[in-house]
Amino acid sequence: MNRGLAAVVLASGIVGLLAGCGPQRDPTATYISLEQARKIARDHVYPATVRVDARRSEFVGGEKRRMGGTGSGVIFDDQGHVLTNYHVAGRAEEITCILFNKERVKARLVGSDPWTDLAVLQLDLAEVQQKGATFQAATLGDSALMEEGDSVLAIGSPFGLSRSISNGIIGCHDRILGTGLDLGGGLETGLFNTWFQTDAAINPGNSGGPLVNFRGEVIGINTRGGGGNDLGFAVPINVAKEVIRQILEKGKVTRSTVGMSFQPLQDLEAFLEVGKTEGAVISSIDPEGPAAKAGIQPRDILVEYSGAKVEGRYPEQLFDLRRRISDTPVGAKVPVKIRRAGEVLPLEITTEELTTVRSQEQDYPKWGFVGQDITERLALRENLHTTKGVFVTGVRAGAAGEQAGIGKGDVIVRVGEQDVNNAAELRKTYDAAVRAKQAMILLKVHRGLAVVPVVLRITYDEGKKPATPPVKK
Amino acid sequence: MRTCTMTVWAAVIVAVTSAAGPLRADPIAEQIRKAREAALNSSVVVSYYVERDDGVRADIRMLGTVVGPDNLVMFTSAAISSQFALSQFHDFKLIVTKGDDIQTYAAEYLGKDDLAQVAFLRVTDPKAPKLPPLEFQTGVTLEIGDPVLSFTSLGEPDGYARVIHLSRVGARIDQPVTLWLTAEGLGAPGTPVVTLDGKAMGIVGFTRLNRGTNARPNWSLGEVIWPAERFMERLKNPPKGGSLVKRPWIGVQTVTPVTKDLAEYYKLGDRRGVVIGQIVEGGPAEKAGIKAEDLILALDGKDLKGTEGQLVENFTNNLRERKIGDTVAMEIWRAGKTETLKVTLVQEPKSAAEAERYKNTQVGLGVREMVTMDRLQRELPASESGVVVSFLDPAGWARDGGLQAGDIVKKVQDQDVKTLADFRRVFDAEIKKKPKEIVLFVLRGKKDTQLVRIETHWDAAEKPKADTPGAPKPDAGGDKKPVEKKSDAGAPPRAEKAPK
Repeated sequence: MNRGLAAVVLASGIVGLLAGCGPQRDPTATYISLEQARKIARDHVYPATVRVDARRSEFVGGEKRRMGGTGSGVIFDDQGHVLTNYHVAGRAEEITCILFNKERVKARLVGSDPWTDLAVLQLDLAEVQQKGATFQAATLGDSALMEEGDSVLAIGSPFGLSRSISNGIIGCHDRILGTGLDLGGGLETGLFNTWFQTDAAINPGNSGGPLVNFRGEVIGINTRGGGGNDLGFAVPINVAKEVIRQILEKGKVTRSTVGMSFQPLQDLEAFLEVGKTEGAVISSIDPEGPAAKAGIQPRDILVEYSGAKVEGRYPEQLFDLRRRISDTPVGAKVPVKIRRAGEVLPLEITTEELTTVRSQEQDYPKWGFVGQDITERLALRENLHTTKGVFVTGVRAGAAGEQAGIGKGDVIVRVGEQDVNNAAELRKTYDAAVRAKQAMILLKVHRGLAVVPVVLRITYDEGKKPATPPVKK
Repeated sequence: MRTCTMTVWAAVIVAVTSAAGPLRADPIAEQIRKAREAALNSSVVVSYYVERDDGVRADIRMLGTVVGPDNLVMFTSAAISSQFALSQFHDFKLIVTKGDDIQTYAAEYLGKDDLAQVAFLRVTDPKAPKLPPLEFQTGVTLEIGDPVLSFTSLGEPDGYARVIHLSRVGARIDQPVTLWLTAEGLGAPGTPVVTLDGKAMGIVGFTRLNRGTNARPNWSLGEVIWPAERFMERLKNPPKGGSLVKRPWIGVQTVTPVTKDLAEYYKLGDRRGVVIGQIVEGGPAEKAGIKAEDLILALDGKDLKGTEGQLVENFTNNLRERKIGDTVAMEIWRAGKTETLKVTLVQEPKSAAEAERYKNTQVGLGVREMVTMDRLQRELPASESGVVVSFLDPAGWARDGGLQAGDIVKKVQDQDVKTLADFRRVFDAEIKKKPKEIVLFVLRGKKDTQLVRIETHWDAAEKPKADTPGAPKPDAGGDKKPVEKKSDAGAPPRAEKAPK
C-alpha cells in the first residue's frame, strides 16, 4: 500500500504544519495528502522564484562578443536578493528578472562564486515599487536533513518557459560528480560540495532555480542536468548559506588553500597502519604551497585540522573536508596533526588565498590577442613554472598575433628586451608601442619549458586609406 | 659482371614469356618489361608478427628486396614501428614465390635505420637458395616527367602476385636532401624505384611531404622517391642483432626557424638559421655553452639555408647525418653578437621503444624504464626517477586498482623503485609473498601523486575453474588474454604505409 495514498487527509492549516511538525519522515508527524503538501510547497516558494535573463560581454576567439542566457533564481530575503547560478549571471553586466507575477524588473550582480557555481543578485527595488510589483522571500531550509526518497519540487524556467514546476524525490543526497568540473574556460567548480540528485525534471534554464522540500523550504539550487533522463543535480542550500553570507558582507567569497590534495582512506588503512576512519590520505602536495612549507609530504595522513578530527574514508567525505579547509580565514595559522610512520606530528599550516584560474582579461587589439594575469591556480592547472607573464586566452583570427603563430596558452614573458610581469604591464608596453606606431614587435613566449621568439608585424594605416582619385572622364 | 648476366637472362625470360607478342608495338611497354625484371627477381615477401602489449598479435606481410649476398633483405623501416619494443617482434620469415610455388624460410631481423628509412633481415634457413640481389645505383638524376617503375603485390590467396606501378616524376625537392615526388601512386614503401633503362635508383619512401601533416585543401601530397644515396651506406654496412641505428644528438628541444621577420628584427640580413627553445639538462649543447633563445646560423662555417618550413629539418638532418663523437662548430648569435661554440655529438638517448620492459601477467601490468623523452614531454627534472606503466590488462588486478597507462611508479610497497631493475627486484619479491594488496606510489600527469592499491585474488588466479561457493570468482570469468589472430594475409602490404 502506498504511503501517500494511505495518508490521512487533514484539513490542517499551513501554519500549523510548518510550525508544529517535523519532516514528514517523523513518525509523530501529522500526515496530509501529497497533493496538498505539494501545493503548500508551491505556495511558499513559487512567488519567490524568478526568471533571470543575463547578458555579458566575453572574449571569444580574441574578440569581444555579447552573450546572453536565461536561467532561474530565488528571492531569499525582503531586500530583494536573488540566489542563482554563477553560470547564469556570475559575470553578467545586464540582468533582468521576471517575477512570478510576470512583472519585469532590472537587477544587478552583488557577488558570485564559481567554486560553488552560485551568484547573488539584487533586484532594483525602485523599479519594483514603481511597477507596483510584489514578491515574496523564500525560506532557506536545512539541506542536511534531506534524505533519499524525500519529495521535492524544482521551480524555474526550463528552456525559458517561465514559472514551471516539476516534481520528484531526492535520488541521492550526497552524489559526487568527480573533481575538476569545468564551468567553461577552464574555470573549476564542484570541488567543495556534494550534490543532491533528483528525478524532478531539470533542463537548461532551470539553472539557479530552487529545489524545494514539501515543507516549502529551499533545500538546493538546481545547477546541472545529468545528460540522461530524470537526472538533475542541485547544490545543497547549506553550501549556499555561507556563500550568501560572504557575498552580502563583502561582495565576494574568499577561500583558503593549503596546497594539498587528498585521496580516500578506504582500503588503504592496513597498508598505512591506521584505523578505518582515521583521517584522509594526502596524495599530492603543491611544492610551493603552504603544506609543503609546513613540511607535509605526500602519503602523510591528515588526522586533525584546526582542532577537529578529519574523516576521509570515502570520496564523498573529501568534499566536506576541502570545504572546511577552504572556509578557514586566509592567512590563518592552523594547527594540524599528521600521521607519518606510526607517529602523530603536530604541525602548523599558514593558509593562502585560493584563486581561480581566471583573472580580468586584457585586450591587445592591434596585436590580435587577449590575455590575463597568471593566478596561482592557473599556474598549477596549466603546469606553468612562474606566475610572471601574460597568459594568452584568445587569439583573433587573421590578426598579427595569429599570423606570427601566437596561440592560446602561450605565456608572453618579454617584449623586446623588457620583462612582462602581468597583463597591466603588457598593456602599458602595448599602448606605448601603438603610440609610437612600432611596426615590428618581438615577443618572447613560454611554451612548456621552451622560450620561443615571435615577431609581430603591425600596420597602422587603418581608417586612413588614401582617397581614391576622381575618375576623369 | 653478375648483374650483366642477370640482365641477359632476364631479357631471355621476357622474350619467352612474351612469345605471344604484344598486339601493337609499344616501345614503352617493351621497356617496362625489360626494366622490371631485375627488381622482380629480387622481390620477396617479408613476414613477421607483433605481439602488442595487450597480448593481441598482429601479422604483418610486406614486400622486401634482396640486396646483398647471403640473402640480405631490405624493407621499409616504417614497418618496424617504434611504438613496440624489439622483443615484441616475432617470427621473421621470408616468403619466396615463383608462380604457384611459395616457399617460406626462417630469417633473422638485423635492425633498422629510421633516417635512411630501411630495415634489414637475413635468411637463416640453410635450405634457402641463393637469391639474386638487386643492385641499387647512386647518382641517377631524374628529370620532371621521367617515367619510373615501382612495385606492390596482391595477398597470399593470389600468391603475392606482383603489380607494377608506372608513374612519372612530378617534382624535385632539395631540402633537406634531394628527392623526387610523383603525383601518381607509387608502389609499397621500401620497394625499389626503377628507371625505364633498368636502374634501381631508390625506393618508395616517406617524408613530411607525404606523411600528411598538412591538412590544407588543394595541397597536393606526392609520393616520395627516396634515392639510393640515402641508404647505400647502410646497405653496405647493415645493422646487427636487431639494433636501431643510433644517430648523433645535441640535446636541444623546441627548435624553430629564424623567420624572415625575426631576421629583419635582429638585422641578420640574408642570414637564416634556427632558434633554440630549450636546452636538455646535461646534454652536449648545454656543455658547449649554448643557451635557450640562442640562434644558430651556421654549422662548420656553412650557413643554414632553406625556406621557413625547411630550416629546422635541414638543421636536424645535417646533425643526424654526422658521426657520433664528431665535433661541430656552431655559429651562435646571442644578443647581437656571434660566437662559435664547439659541440660534441653524442649518441641519441634511448627511445621508449628501446626501453627495457617488465611484465607481470598475473597482476596484469607492464612497466618500462623511464627514458629522456618521458622527462622532456612531461617537463620533469632530469633527476626524476621511476618506471612508466606501459601496459594494463583490461581485466587485470592493476587496472581494477586504478592504475593508469603512463603513470610513473615511484614506490612499490613503500620501497623506492628508481630503475627498472629496482622495480623488478622489489616487485618480484613482493609477488612471491602473495600479498593481499600491492600499494604503489605513482606520479600521474606532470605533478599529481597518489597511492594506488592493487587488490590481489591469488586463490582465484590459481584455480580459475574453482566454482566452490565462497571461493572468490576469477576476474571476468574467462580468458584474460584474448588472442585475436589477425589473418589479414590478403591485405596489401601498403597497409603499413604511414597514413596520409
